[in-house]
Amino acid sequence: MIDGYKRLMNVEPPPAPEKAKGFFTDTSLCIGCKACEVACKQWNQLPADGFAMTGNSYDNTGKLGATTWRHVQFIEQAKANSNRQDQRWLMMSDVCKHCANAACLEACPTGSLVRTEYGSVYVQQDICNGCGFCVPACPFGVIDRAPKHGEFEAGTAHKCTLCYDRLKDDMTPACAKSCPTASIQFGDVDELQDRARRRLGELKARGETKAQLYGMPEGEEASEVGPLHAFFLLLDKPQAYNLPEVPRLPRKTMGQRYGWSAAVGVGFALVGALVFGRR
Amino acid sequence: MGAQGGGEGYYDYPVVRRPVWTWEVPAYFWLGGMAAGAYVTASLAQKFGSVDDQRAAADGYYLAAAALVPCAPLLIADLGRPERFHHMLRIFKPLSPMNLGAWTLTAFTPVAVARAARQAADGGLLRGPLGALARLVPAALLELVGSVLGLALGGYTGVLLAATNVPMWAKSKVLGGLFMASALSSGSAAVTLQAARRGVPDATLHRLATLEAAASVGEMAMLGGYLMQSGKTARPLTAGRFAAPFWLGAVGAGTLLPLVLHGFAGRRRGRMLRSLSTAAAVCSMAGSLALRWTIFEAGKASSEDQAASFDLSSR
Amino acid sequence: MGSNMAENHPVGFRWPMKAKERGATIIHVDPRFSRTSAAANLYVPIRSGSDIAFLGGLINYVLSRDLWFKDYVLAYTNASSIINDQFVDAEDNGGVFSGYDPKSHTYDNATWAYAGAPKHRPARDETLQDPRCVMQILTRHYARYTPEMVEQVCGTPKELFLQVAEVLVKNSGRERTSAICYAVGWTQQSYGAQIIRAAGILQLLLGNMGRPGGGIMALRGHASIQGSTDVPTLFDLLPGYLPHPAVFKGDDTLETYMRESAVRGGYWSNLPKFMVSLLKAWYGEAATKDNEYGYQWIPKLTGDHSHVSTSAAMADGQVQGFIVFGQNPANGSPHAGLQRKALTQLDWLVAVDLYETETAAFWYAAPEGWNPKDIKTEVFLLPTAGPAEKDGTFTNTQRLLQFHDKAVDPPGDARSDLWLVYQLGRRLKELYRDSTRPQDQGLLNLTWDYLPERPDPRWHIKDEPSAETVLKEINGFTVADRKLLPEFAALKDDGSTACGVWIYSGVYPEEGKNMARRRVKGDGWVSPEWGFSWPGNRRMLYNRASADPQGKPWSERKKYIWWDAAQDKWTGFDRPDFPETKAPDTPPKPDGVGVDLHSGSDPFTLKADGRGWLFAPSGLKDGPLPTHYEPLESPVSNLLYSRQDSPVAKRFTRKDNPISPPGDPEYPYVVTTYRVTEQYTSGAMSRWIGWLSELMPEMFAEISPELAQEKGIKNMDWIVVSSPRNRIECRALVTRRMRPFRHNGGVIHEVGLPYHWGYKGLVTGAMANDLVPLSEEPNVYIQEDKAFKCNIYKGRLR
Ligand SMILES: Nc1nc2c(c(=O)[nH]1)N[C@H]1C(S)=C(S)[C@@H](COP(=O)(O)OP(=O)(O)OC[C@H]3O[C@@H](n4cnc5c(=O)[nH]c(N)nc54)[C@H](O)[C@@H]3O)O[C@H]1N2
Ligand SMILES: Nc1nc2c(c(=O)[nH]1)N[C@H]1C(S)=C(S)[C@@H](COP(=O)(O)OP(=O)(O)OC[C@H]3O[C@@H](n4cnc5c(=O)[nH]c(N)nc54)[C@H](O)[C@@H]3O)O[C@H]1N2
Ligand code: SF4
Ligand code: SF4
Ligand code: SF4
Ligand code: SF4
Ligand code: SF4
Ligand SMILES: [Mo]
Repeated sequence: MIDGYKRLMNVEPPPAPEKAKGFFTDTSLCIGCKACEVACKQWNQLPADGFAMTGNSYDNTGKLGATTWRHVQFIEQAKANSNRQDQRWLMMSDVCKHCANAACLEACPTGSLVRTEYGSVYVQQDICNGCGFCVPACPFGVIDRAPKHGEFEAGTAHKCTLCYDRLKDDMTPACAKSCPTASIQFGDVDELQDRARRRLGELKARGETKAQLYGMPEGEEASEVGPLHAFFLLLDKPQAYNLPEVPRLPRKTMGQRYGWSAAVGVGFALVGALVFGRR
Repeated sequence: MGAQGGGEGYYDYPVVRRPVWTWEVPAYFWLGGMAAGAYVTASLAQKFGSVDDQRAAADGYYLAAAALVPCAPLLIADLGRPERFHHMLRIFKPLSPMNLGAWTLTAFTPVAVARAARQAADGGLLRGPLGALARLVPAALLELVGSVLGLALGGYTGVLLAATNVPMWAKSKVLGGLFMASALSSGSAAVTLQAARRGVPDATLHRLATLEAAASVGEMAMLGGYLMQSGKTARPLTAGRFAAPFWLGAVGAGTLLPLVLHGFAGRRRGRMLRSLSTAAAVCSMAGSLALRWTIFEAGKASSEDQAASFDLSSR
Repeated sequence: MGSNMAENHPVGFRWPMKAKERGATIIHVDPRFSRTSAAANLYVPIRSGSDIAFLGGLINYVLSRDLWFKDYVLAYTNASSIINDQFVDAEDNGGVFSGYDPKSHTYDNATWAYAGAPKHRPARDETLQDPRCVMQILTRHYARYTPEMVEQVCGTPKELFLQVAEVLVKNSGRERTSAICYAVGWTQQSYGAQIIRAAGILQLLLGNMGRPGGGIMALRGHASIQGSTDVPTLFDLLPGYLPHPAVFKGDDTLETYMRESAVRGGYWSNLPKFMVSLLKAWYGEAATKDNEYGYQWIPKLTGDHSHVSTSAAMADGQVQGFIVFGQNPANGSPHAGLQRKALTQLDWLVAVDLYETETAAFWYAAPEGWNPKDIKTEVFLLPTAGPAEKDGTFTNTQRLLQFHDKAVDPPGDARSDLWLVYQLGRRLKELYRDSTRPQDQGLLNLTWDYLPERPDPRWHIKDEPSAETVLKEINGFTVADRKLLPEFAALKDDGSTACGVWIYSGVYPEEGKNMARRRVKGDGWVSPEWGFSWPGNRRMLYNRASADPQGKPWSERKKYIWWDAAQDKWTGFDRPDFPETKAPDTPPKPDGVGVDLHSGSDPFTLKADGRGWLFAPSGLKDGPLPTHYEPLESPVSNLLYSRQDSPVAKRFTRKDNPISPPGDPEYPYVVTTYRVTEQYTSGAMSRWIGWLSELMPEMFAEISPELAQEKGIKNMDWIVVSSPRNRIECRALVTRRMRPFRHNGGVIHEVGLPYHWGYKGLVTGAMANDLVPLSEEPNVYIQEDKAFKCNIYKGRLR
């Protein structure tokens, strides 16, 4: 009976947890070559999704999605009609943050989204029923549901897997492997965090005043979603990279919201009791 | 010194993703809510009301059962992989409003149907062995359990939307309360409507109308709170494409008009009372559909509002 | 400078990035603010075509402020050498050197030669006071290249230019060195070789040649383009940079041809050994002393047979057949419209390629909209194998040969280029078997046995020649016992040795020892045991200069090779690029030949006098000293000389190749063409791949907001870009990364065009090359892609 149920719902025991793995993406080293984007699509056999130019600098990808799990941003900065000596061209390779408290995972009603033994957040394709709840839950707009009638994995949710399959074979994720300048650094999250702190120190010392880390345990941005297992060294404020200042974890406010609807329900019941009772 | 062309953020790309849900979802919210409202109203009448009240409100059980029938199909139709709908029940995970909702609907539907069957048996509509079987159903217990489940069903939908990062859904604290109120007002309205058609004693009709009006008042209060807390974020709702259906439908027809009509109905009796109550009930039911639909659609639009997302996630 | 390394050599660019992390300063001098500029410490804008003015300015800065590396320059360059008194500098002659013949547009370089005899032993004035010594001539030549002049000509703000100069000087000398990287941003100009020369002069003055961390890095193009110049695929060279025999040079016998060795002197005096061994490799038994080792079987050059010239001749119907291996001229070559027209004049065309290119498809898909019925050209498209589908070597930018093994069989009928060439040769030999005509004997006598003893069982293609067998022939062997040669020092001019490419000799020193296969890691930062770099696995050329005249390192930080008195030989991290036991204090042999003429402190062994040439007495067709000219098509006139453009660059004045004069209001803007990381050259390889195509899906033109405003153009508008040759339409990408340049008070706008699109592939678009003029740099025959003129307007074609 129980087994029958487990088989119907294909429930499996999870593997034993290991040291958390993740990315430190140091945007000060990014040269915008997009090797990471291509390597990701190649390894995961994601289809090309559209041959349209955006006109937004060299970014013709736009945003992350069901068939784009790495996205390189190109931010052109130069004060209007300045002599351009303040000119900057910031590049940043965006990816799923594998949040310590993952909104997508908490939202998932089927348990398709799981925390893997590497501490990453992973969509089990055979479980996902495409309810779509994780999509608006993610504060970073990462995960998306593939079109219901498209040719690629129709109707289920997709995002970076942290190359789960490669990790299983002790291989570095394809994107980090292909990055020529070590802008994407893969490893044990705690070790990467120390490295990031040191790196920030160096850059500050070099006068990179705007440099800041995003997604570190001590950062305010981690106050709700927790440390990001894929975190960043940025050269401008998070918003410049479309990153929320303090990403929200819906769970944090859910109780309060339930409270109000409960209050209304109870209130109605009382009124009802009074109305009918008064005769 | 923002990115070329863009404002504070990265060009004008949205921060969060647009929800993939379609019309089935608001339709389900509306029907489920009404079912919940009707069932609770009926049960309140059973517990506290007079014999007339009980007889009049009992139709709520039929309404609840009827409204619940299309709910599950609607939800399944909206899935990316409908054939895997049962994975919703793979685990019990109240942390996920959608999982909670799935279990609630699964539990509430049979209860409502059973209670309706009992009603049919008692009313002599259901005879023979089935009738006999139905008469075994423990009415009082189902009324209590069903009411709790019903309130859960009516109450979780708004919270589900609020438990996202869509600015217009997530910003306010009271979206859950608002949907709950709307569920109860429309549900009780449905009962009132049926009672008016059946021509129940004026006193009973007055009591039902009062209850419905109370729900509408609550709904109005919640709406006020919702709009105040949402502020600029609610612009896609209060201005633009969805403004008309929202102000006229959700606010006007959904709350103001019913209250006005009930006001008129106040001391009136007979046909006049019945037609006023009918009108009020229809408005409130239509209004709550408008409310669900506009907030749902406008919310999707707000997911593409970069500034709203930054505002939602600012220190 | 003249390279967009981060975008076009991203994997190589990891090293500059690492250096930057360790405190190095990266400077990027480019008309556009590119991804390289973004990564650099200092971005310096420069108007396309003005590099010599910029580098001349740096030379002037170093000389006028007396900042040059005295000990190095005096000992290792020809600064003190005295030049022939007939020599007249361009400074004193309106921008033209002595020996110019206006009719033929050529120089006779006799007057540029050293004074004093014999030819390779110049008279010197170590005090550098003689007005005719190189240092004095150099100083006078660049005297007017001041920071102010640089600002006027290049549009580079003076303070930025001075910053560059200071950084360079600060990072040169005994303790520090600076490197200059360039690529086609320099070479694709009508005086490309002279730009590189200018960099050479600067680096010699700063003591940055032959030393670790110094040098001038040519960032080459296609994966083995270095190999294809070594082996080579060039019309005017034989393997290993031996000159190709030419009628007009009077090379009618092997002996007269050999005079070149004496002309060149230095290590080149061994040229006879290289040549005879080459002939033995080609003609084997048939090559004997009596028949000049088959020298007469080599066709002699009658003129310029470069790609551009051949295309022009083809357009005039003078070429019947055309085989293209891995090239896409209908899109990638200058004046692509004319290139396509040329293809219609052929009787037959064979395209050997991985994909159906614009070239292979011109007859039905060209924008000219020709009706296939009207095309007489018979087109054959032969599918070829990609790198992973065949054995072979890549020779990369640092002259490093790396062997790669076949991983899979090519699909279907596809065959490797080696297979195709080998089979073609076999069948031609068969075809001419009985011919007695003298011109066929070369073909018939070619050694042509490259099939392995037994075919590799792993592959279904059984008649694949062995790339390693070819590599062995390239390495060379002793004729008698076919024993592989250890290195080129073993080559003889008596026919006893055979060698396909002398500079590669040593890559396969003995059976079963393919040095290009080596992948030893962790053997120090020079990693001498990774692959094989020619010549003789030397990782750095002229590295004798890394030690001072006495043979001691210039500094501990910068030690590389040095004289070990104990062992009486040169030692160090690399193989010495110098006679290994020639002591630093060895005096020159006055009556010696070749390197014997050099002292123990003359590092530049390939040069006749063993010195680095600040002044080039020979070897260049367009002058002994780099001199600023404007591009062949420029909106402005030359501020430095009355001579507007290169006196000797080839123009192709023909009515289908019009050139717009300076100041022509029709074409007011400079336009340059280039690459982006996401696509590859003519796009033939990248536009068939969705993952790349989606990243750069459409042809666009980069323009500054200032120009856009002038023209009422908004970002992403369709615009038409026109040149005297043709018009194309594309999107406008309006960006501050482009900027207007100040020129002599006025403003010059520059338009940027990537050249990756065409009419085949997943994504298609206009071809920048439709706009480019036919032209040739005189030394290496490269077209001027980097600076010509255009006009733009908002809208679309018709
Ligand atoms: N991704 C990618 N990589 C490639 C290639 C590719 O197509 N795609 N092609 C390969 C090949 S074949 C080659 S040859 C190399 C070429 O490598 P590069 O030489 O780097 O290629 P380009 O982009 O043509 O030109 C480099 C730069 O020259 C600048 N430039 C234009 N005019 C001038 C000028 O007058 N002076 C100076 N100083 N700079 C100027 C352009 O703005 C451009 O940024 O790249 C190789 N690598
Ligand atoms: N306007 C402008 N024009 C330029 C330049 C510029 O900067 N501006 N750059 C110039 C430069 S530097 C270069 S190198 C040229 C390049 O111009 P082309 O060489 O004409 O263009 P590619 O697209 O590189 O063509 C290479 C072809 O070789 C094929 N191929 C790849 N591997 C193999 C193989 O193993 N065997 C065979 N047989 N074929 C193979 C590819 O499919 C492709 O079709 O463009 C030149 N043209
Ligand atoms: S970034 Fe979004 S998708 Fe990724 S783990 Fe966090 S919440 Fe989930
Ligand atoms: S779409 Fe799939 S992964 Fe996302 S919440 Fe629903 S079931 Fe979970
Ligand atoms: S980790 Fe793997 S899946 Fe994730 S972005 Fe990198 S390559 Fe793609
Ligand atoms: S591969 Fe590395 S350098 Fe290239 S875009 Fe991605 S992160 Fe940046
Ligand atoms: S494409 Fe190949 S050659 Fe070019 S940078 Fe990448 S790895 Fe190097
Ligand atoms: Mo090239």
